[in-house]
Amino acid sequence: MLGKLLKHEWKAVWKVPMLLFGILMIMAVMAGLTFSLPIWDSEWIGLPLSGVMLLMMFYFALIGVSVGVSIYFAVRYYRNMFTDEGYLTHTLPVTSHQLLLSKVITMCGWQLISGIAVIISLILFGGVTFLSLVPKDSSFAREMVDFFSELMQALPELWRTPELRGINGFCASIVVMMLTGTFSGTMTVIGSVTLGQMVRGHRILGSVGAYFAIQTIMQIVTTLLILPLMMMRIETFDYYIEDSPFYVMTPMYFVMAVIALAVGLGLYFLSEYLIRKRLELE
Amino acid sequence: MNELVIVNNLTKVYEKKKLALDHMNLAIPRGKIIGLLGPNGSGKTTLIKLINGLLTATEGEVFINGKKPGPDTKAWVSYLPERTYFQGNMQVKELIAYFSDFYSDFRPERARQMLANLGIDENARLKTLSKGTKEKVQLIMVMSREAQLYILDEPIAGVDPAARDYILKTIISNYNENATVLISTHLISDIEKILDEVVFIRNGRVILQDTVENIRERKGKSVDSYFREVFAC
Amino acid sequence: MAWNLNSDRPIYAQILEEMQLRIVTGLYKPGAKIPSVRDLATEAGVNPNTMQKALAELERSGLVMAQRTSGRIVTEDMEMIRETRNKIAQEQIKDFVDKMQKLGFQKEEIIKLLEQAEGGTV
Repeated sequence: MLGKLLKHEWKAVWKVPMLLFGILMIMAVMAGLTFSLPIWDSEWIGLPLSGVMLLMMFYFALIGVSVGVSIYFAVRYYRNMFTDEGYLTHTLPVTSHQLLLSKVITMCGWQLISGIAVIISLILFGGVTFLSLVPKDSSFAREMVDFFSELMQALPELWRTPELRGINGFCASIVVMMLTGTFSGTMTVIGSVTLGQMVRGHRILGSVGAYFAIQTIMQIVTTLLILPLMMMRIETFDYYIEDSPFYVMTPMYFVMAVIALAVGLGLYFLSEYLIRKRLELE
Repeated sequence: MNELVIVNNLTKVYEKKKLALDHMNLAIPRGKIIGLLGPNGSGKTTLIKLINGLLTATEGEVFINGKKPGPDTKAWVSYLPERTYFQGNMQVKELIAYFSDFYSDFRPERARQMLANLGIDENARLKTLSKGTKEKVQLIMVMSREAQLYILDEPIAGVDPAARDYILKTIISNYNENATVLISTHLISDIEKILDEVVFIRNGRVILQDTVENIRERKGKSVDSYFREVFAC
Repeated sequence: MAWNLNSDRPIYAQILEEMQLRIVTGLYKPGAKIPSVRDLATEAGVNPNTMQKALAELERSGLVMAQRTSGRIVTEDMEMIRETRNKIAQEQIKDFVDKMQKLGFQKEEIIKLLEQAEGGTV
């Protein structure tokens, strides 16, 4: 049943995020192309200004995509679970775990995809900008290509230098933190919408309130746990003996990942309980 | 066990202390078409939502086939709420696929036949359909299941007489003798001919449960007239 | 054909009357198959259980017979059909005479009125 739920969930949601990504990519190309236009030296202030506007729009699109995806999924979750659509959702022969998991997995998936889309749009922007700025003679382009291939060759060597000792662990900590962060971010949205339903009569207001409450609590907890750890690590940090900067960073990120995972799981079980035991469709 | 649904001391208090169901007791047999009759606000919809697990009871329990509302009972119960519950951008044929996937007792060919009879295009998106057509699509979906219990909440309120006849015919022709159909309504005269039994509820309590033929025979009047007498203000 | 069922009286009895009428008027011919319970219930807009009960009663009276394969056929016993027809006629006459007597007519007057009516409309 979880598989079927995921299939239908996926079928219902893919269009809106894909549209957002499409807009993001168009913005990236347009922003990059401004550099090939002869507008920057224009006498009339309007032309360079509109170039700046395009760059700013790309910047806002970058932020807007993940915010947009979050809001879209929050609204969909709310409508699908707690409005008239809920009359069908909650009379399917599925468990509350299956129902909730299908929502959480789909939203996590799209959050990760939107992260990838942001990276692709940045590469696209960089590439278009680069092509716009380089002189049209081919030798320069060849030099750049050579430079990048040398860099790629040198990278493994660089990776092993003593100054970067522990970089593998650091990278792993970043990946783990991003994954758990995606999970806790998703659960914060889903958990706050679910919690908001307990405020009968002001369900949407309740959801927004719950969101900020969860965010605040999470930040306080993270700060309280991270600060002492960071201080301790910095005190024992000894650059000349063996430690790289990752000596401080890596454990901090892992602790943050553990906190995110704990918060995410806590919100998951709370939401599941509320759906199973406290459902009140109007 | 002969009773399909057992309602035990069921109580529901909404916010603001509104008592919707008041220690209700009720047994619903198998193989019957039963009218759940009562004025607006008597607790009909609350009872139905509790049987479907869409509300949390304040006190008491509901059993369907001996089980509390949950994934098992939802596989046997086919429910038509008074709301339209579609996701608007779905097509009618996608809805059929959706029901086929989740309900193993759903008969897509039966749904397609009924849609064709009414001239409803399977490629139409639900949001483009009129309110009346949406209600018909929803009824077709619900009646295309071979469920043990059909619960129809106000299926004929707010539709024109022709549609009303079609709905009643749909209910009769899809009904099988092992299933129970529970129809809530306040428009009794239109449906009383298809009922086996009626349950009158008022202020969250069952005040009468009897067969319609008994009522007609003993009172010498239609259930509708009797209802008006019982609920006279 | 319409089923004019009245909600004041047991539906079951009214269905029985309508079915008898259909048989004696030859709408359902002797030896012919009658429609299924579901079809009849849908056509009449009544509960299938009620229709089932009425048909079972019809079967008990002998007017229809259950076949080994599913379905029911009308009896070929013409005598029984005629008897039923007479019985219905008797009931109609009794109703009519009762009403006329309530209006204060005597038997002879009723017969005279009937003869006059015959000349006119029948």
